[in-house]
Amino acid sequence: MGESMAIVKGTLDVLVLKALAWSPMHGFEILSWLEERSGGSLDVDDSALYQALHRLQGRGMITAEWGVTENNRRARYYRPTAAGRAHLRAETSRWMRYADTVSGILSGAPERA
Amino acid sequence: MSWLWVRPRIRRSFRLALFRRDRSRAELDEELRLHLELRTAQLVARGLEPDQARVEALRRMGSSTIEEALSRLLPSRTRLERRMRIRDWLGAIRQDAGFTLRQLRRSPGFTFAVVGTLAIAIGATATMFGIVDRLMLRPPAHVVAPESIYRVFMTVLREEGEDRSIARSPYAFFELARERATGARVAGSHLAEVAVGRGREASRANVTFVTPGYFALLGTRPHSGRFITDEEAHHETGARVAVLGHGAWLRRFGGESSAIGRTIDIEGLAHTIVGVAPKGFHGTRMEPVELWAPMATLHAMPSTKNLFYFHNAVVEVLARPAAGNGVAQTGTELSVLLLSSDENRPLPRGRARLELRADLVSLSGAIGPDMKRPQEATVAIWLAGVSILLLLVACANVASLFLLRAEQRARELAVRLSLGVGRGRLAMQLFIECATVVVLGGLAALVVTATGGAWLRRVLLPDVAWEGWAADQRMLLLTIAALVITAIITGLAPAVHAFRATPQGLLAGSARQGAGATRRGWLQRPLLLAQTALTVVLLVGAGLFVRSLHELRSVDLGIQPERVIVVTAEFSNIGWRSAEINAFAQRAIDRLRGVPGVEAVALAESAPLVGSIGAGSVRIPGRDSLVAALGSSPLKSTVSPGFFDVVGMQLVRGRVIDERDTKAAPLVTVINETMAQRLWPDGSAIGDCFYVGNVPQCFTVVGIVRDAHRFRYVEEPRPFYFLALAQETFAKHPSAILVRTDGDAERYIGRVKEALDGVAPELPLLEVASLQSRLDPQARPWQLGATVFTIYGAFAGVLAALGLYSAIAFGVVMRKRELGVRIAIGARGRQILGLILGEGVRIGVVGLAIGLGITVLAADRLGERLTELLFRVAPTDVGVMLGVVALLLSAIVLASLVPAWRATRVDPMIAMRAE
Repeated sequence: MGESMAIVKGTLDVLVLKALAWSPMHGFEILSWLEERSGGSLDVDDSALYQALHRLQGRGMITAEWGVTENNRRARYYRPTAAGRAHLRAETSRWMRYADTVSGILSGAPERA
Repeated sequence: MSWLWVRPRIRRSFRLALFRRDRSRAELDEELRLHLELRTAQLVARGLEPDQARVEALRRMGSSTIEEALSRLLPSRTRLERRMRIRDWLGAIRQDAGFTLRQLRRSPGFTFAVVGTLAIAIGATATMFGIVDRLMLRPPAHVVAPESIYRVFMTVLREEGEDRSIARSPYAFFELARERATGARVAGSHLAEVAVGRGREASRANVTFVTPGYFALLGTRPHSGRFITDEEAHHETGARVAVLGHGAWLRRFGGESSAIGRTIDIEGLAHTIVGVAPKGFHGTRMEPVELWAPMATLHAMPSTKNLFYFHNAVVEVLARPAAGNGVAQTGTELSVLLLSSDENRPLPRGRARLELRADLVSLSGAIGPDMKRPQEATVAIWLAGVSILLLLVACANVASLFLLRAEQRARELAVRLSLGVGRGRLAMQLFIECATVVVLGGLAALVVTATGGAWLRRVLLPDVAWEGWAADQRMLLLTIAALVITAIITGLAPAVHAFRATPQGLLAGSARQGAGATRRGWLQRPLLLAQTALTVVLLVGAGLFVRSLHELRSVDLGIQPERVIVVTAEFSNIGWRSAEINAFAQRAIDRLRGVPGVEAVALAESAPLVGSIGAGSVRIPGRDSLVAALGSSPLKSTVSPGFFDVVGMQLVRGRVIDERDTKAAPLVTVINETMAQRLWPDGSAIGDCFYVGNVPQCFTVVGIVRDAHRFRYVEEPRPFYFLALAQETFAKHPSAILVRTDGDAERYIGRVKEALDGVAPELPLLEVASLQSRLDPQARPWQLGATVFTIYGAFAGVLAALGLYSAIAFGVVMRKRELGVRIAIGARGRQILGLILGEGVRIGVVGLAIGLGITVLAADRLGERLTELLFRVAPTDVGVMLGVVALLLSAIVLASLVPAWRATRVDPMIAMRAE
């Protein structure tokens, strides 16, 4: 298991939206999904996730409603709104372009004198 | 906590979230507990001890206890909730507004009715209050501390009782008061309509001649340049300077600053312009002022110089009592000064010295020269009161229209309620719908106020200086207040109405038929009755004013002013003497005789409605008690041949003055009937003679003419005699040229002006006007009343008819099934017609009766005051009442007939199937 990385500021929201794109989840499920996907290398503070959820909800990216878990426990499930999905698409392509550019610069050989 | 107890239904509808904070805390708590539980379980599964796992789970939350975790996350949660609430609310409003506009576009008739009703009612109220405000309440503009300035009226106390107050005081009094008064500063002015400008540009305009200290007393500052100084204003030593009114500056000089330093003619005398008055400044009177000039000008003009002889009332005196000095105290001091200024005055023979008193009257508010409120103002107050009633009824009508709509949409509302739309949300939406329409109505009302109000002011109150727009900020505030109240009433009524019903009841069609129809009654019926009653009152008012106007117009004046044009000029100011004036008159006559439509031309020293008419005492040898027999000193005028035909004065006996009565012929006179009856009750006037003034010969009476009014529609007849101009006994030249036309004189004014163009370039102004135009201002109070009452009455009538129509039509729709059943079991069309018609007529007749009752009651209670407003018409005029009843009855029948006819067309099959 590699060294865990602090999350880049502002990316948690996109990651949460990505997680929710698969299916509605409650808070712990989102965290587990992120840990699983990152192989445990992303260090997300639990309280930061809840704050992100509140923030996203406030901006109309996700909605929340009460549901029941597999074990019949009442839980608050979050799902993305249309605005949230659009935001995810836009942010994903932006992030990709950014990452390509940065990694291109960092890994490429200097070509111009 | 008993104060927290609110009926659950009400709490729900207002979304009283007493425990909102507690709820979010509980929800967050539950969410966190689940999270911690799952995290702990996960950590235990990974091999940690349960206690350790619990601490680790909390650590990941950044806390050591669950309470701490909760309080860390609670702020972001509450912030979120607040944001979401606002967003929901805004979204709802946006949605409702869009929905409203779609709804309104779908029913343009409804929208038009509501917006139109509000526009007219609010516009009418705003206009009338604007007028009342200007006439009664507002102090003059640009005056510093107007509340501490008073008009000084001179009241002549008479032994016989009945004191007489006049607005003007002798100049001597002003001078004495200015010099000696210790308790107050005084200044004064004299407003007169004189010739302003030169040549073709010349016109008659209001000029205010000011005493020293006038502008200082008012505290006004000039727009540009300066005002008239005390030295310049002094009546004897003053200078020829003038201050332009702001309007005159724009009109005559295009608002250019170079106007200052140029000259302007007042009665042919050049005055140097020294300044421009601020916009909206018209001194302390209602009339618009073109120019300000010093008293010196008035004193310099031969035509007005005699105003300064000490007993002539010339100055409207204003007083500003010194700080701490009361009104009563100032009045007493000024009264003493007034009396002492009158001491040197030569008394008329046989009269005791008059007692005089100075009365102080507040500056704001219309006040006539007789210290009474002008009748226009009284009429305007009544109209303003009536317009409030109109506004109330219009609001009620709008509310009822909305109610009707809510009723029609009851199913839609019920469906939405049962689909889970919150009651608050629904109420909000209904309110937004009303608010939208009301705002549209308000905007339209501003247009009505601006255009209709301006028209009303220009046509019916042309002598008042109106500044700028027809509505000021206060009017705007009033309008907005009216709108808000209307919106609340109209918005809440349907909402309350909608929530009274249960969705189930509304969805079940039968509810519409039974309960729905009766529930409507609680507002609809009283409203219809009130509307009809108000219409009656307004129409009776309109009828009374129209009849007053008619009565006034048909007063037999003894002359025919509508067919006479009068040409006048001020000759004395340019130094003309009789020879020049007579030559001018002859030239003018020659030109006028050739004008098509002119039947005859005559000259006069004075005539009814023209100029001042002199009094001239007469003597008959051997008869001492002539004054007693005459009752009052007789009036005289000197006229040319043809005068009587031109003005339309009818000869009763003998002959009129004609070409025979030359300077060489024996002196003759024509007298009026009153003089003939009083001096020769036995009818022996013709052939007898009397002496006038110090003319040695006796004037032989050659004819008797009918009495004619001299100045007003209402006046007592006075003895009057006419002398021949050609005999040159008193007047040696005319002061007016009278032109008889073969139709409405107004139409010939242009031709007459054209014909006289250039006949006397030396004259500053030749005034050409119809004789009727000198009477018209007297008819204005009744004209105002007649016009506005008629507009209001028609408006209220349309409202009432529409209200009745919609109520009956709605009733027919509601009772479709019942009507269908009736028709199915054999009811004839005529019976159905009678059934529905009877319902409308019943409501209408009850409303009519209430209205007539109110009218008669008001006439009884306010009899005195109403009679004052009218002219020779009783407030309970039967003809007017019958006319109104007939008019309204036909409107009621018509309004009920259309839906009644529609009721007969109900197809029983369709009606039954509709269920």
